[in-house]
Amino acid sequence: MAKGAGLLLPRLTGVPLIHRVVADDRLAVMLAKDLVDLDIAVPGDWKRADSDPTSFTRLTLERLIKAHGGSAIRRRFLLVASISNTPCEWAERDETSPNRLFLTVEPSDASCGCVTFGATLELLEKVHPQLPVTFFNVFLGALNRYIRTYDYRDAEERAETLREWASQEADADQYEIPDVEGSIPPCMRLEALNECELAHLKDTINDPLAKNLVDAVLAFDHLSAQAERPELDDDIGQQLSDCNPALPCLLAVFAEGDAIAGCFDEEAEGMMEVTPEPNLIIPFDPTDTESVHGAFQVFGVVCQTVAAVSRVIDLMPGNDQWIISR
Amino acid sequence: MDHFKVTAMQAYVNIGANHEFRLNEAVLVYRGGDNGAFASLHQVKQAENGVPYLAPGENLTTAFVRTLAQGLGAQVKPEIFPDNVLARTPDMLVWWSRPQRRIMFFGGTN
Repeated sequence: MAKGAGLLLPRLTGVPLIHRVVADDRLAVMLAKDLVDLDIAVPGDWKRADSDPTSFTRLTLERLIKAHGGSAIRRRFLLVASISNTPCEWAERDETSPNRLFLTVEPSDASCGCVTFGATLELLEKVHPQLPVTFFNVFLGALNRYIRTYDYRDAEERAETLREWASQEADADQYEIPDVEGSIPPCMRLEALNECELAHLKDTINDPLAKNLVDAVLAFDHLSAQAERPELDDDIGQQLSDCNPALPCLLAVFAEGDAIAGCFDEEAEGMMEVTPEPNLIIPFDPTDTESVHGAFQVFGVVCQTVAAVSRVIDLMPGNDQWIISR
Repeated sequence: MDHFKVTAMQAYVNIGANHEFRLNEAVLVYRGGDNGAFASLHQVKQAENGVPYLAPGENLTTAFVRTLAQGLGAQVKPEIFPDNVLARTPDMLVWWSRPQRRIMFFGGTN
């Protein structure tokens, strides 16, 4: 049969889809080698990465996240992990430390997870009056080691700032400031139990859900303490001097749409006016295998901690919402 | 809130001054001898097996051609040159240096 009229589109089989311009891959090569030497990376990924050290490191990072609770993390959080020469996107590279890289974690697309404590605190109050504030403090303390949570203390500070601004206006009484004080349950005003008291109380809890919650929060507190947040030196502080504070990864409220959520919504409008600094910054030196090992060990603990938080929130009553991915 | 699928945690690596160029579009130019020529613009898509293919053609707009020309360097951004640079175009750089003795090496013709 004769060919019909028309044009044939050329095939692209075998055409390279990506070209890379590599101006300086010395650190990327060293990092890739370290990751293999430390058994963090899988040598087989080298082929998947088209022999590109940067892609190889990215695949390793993805593999690490998956192995450290990736599916639990994504239920409640949208985060991004990056390895770069600078601690944040707009910081200038520090030429005096040419071998320094940064592993950072921050919210993706300026998103924020949410947790409601109200029903959980009510449940725990039935067990012991000081248990709610203890649970809250352990939960937030363990998470705040690595990533920022916006809670009633941030909201109180914001409300105070708003009050100060409003007081300078002629029509000060026309401003409606969120009643943060009124949103905080009275049980939160009590003193928290210390570690020994909590350990003693834990064994006496009969309510299965309350016991599960206390066990889970203590487990993730223990997990979170397995690593230490790296100290940042003055040079890195200088690189971040023009940044806004880190964006919160989690909003902790007592009830849906309470005054804390109101303060957060109001404050969130200005959080991106200047580039925020990442939640977690782990500086490391790819020419030093120990340094790479330390950085990835901290990162693994952070992933596990965030995954554990996500699982604790799953247990907490009243938190069926705000699930990002099932 | 809508449920949508996301990766566990996005991962990016950006070390050194490396850049990645991904094949996005292709321009096909058809010539017809004395009857002129025309060009079509095609998005490049990937089949499930990863093999790239051309999507149906679209008309080439003058805006696209202008953007393409800019990308090729037809429009040079203002730059500050060192003292010894005399002129620069997208295809040419002219500089001078003071007269001086230099050691010169000549390769063999064999």
